[in-house]
Amino acid sequence: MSIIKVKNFSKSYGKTLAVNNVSFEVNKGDIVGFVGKNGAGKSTTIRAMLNMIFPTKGSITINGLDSVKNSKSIKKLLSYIPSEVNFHEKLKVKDIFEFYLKFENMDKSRLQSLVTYFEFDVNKRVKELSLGNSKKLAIILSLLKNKDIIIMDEPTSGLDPLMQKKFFELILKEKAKGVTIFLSSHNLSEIDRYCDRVLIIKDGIIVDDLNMEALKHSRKKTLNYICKNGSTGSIELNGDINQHIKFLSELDLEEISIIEPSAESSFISYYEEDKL
Amino acid sequence: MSIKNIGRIFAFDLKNKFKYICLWCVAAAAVMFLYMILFPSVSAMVGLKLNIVPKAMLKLFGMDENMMFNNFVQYFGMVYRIVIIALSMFASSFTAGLLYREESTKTIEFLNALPVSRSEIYFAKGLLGLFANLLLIFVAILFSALAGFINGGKTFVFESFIDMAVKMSFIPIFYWALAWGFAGITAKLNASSIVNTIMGIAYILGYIGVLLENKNFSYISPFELLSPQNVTNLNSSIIIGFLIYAAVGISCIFAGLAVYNKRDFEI
Repeated sequence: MSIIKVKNFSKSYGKTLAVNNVSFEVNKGDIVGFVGKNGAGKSTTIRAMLNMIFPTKGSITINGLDSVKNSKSIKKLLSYIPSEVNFHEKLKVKDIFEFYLKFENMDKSRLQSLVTYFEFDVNKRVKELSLGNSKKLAIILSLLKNKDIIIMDEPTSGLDPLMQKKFFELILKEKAKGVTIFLSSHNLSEIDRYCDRVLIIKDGIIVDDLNMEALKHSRKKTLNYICKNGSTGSIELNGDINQHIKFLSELDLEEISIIEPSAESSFISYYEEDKL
Repeated sequence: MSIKNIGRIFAFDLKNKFKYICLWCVAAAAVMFLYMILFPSVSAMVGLKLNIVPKAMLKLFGMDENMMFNNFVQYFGMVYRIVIIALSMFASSFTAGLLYREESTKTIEFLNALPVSRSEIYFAKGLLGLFANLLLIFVAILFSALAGFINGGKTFVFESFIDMAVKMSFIPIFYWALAWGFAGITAKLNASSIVNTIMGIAYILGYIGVLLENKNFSYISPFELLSPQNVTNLNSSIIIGFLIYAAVGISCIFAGLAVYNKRDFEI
């Protein structure tokens, strides 16, 4: 069942077309990655979902509600982590939490457990927060209430590896509860590891829609070998593995290595200029 | 539209801007009290000095040569008229800043992600602007009245004082409405700069109108329309002028709301 439907969405700023006729759907309970280089149109699409900008053409519906006409109702269903975290600098973090708690009638114990989980100091002022801690604040706010959808625009930028791991552990728990996660990121290994599907956007156009399970299966491992006489070679490991073993057994081998293609290598071509 | 949500955003912003509003209140109170408490000596001194100031210069600051500087209420009108320029600038920059800075600093991303409508954001910001504006006006009038009770003597007629103060206080409220509306219409430009420019141009045009002794031309400036002399001698053209300003202000607020609900945030 589709919970997010983007239909022929276009956004232009004057003569500049930021997003061109984008259509896709996101199924309930999926983690969907949204990948593309800077300026590809990721944040524009996300901001239109939250009615921060208006579509020039097309429509976006979330849980059957139009992003323009039913914006307030949509925001009751989703939470959002922006790519850049900006709060009123003079305020204390606890003031911001207090403000959010008022809106969502949320349970304070949930806040306490998230604060403890992310090792976060609520007594600091916003201007005293590092980039990573600002991101933690945004993450905690987004996870405070049980929402049906979480939209994240580069959520882990600025977080240390341990916090990134803890963050995704929590995200996987949310997914297990049936929460839909729409994740825009430049961190291709996290896209590879956690997403069910990946949408690739380039120059405002969706250029590919990949099923990660199928992609992982289709990735071909390569075996590289060096013989004692100095000759080298490589074999693409597909088909019958016994045939490869038989071939290798006939060689006088010095060293072998098996290379598994990384997520980066799967996606990086989409970042390159000449792809399309 | 939820009144609760408007109240929550209002309270949050008030907490954020509390010190700033307090500083302005202290400044307004101090300036008004200081000038008004020295009424007997300052007015005598100013009365003498004014004889050597060119009439055109006096008109620029709204000081009529016939003004009675030995009358507390008239003296208040003269001082308040200058202070009201600062109050109008505060009204414009504070109100416009509440909306404009949410976008220029991108804090709107978090505010807008909450289950609130754009109208609720717009009204919360505008009403806080009005609240701060009224608070400042109240403090300025209160401390002037206090000085009047202490040192105003027989010329301090409370009813006349309040009447003049309230009527003249429409000026910063007009600029508040203008700034609120403009900030709703655009965040590409800082609405307070736009309104302060309008204010400056209107002030100069009004002054030129006074020099030319053309009342209709001078009424381009609300500072001239609601000058101390005019508010004590209301006539139909002043009332019509006042109603036009009120209509412009209200139209600006609703135009701002309509555009704010339809435009992209500048982030």
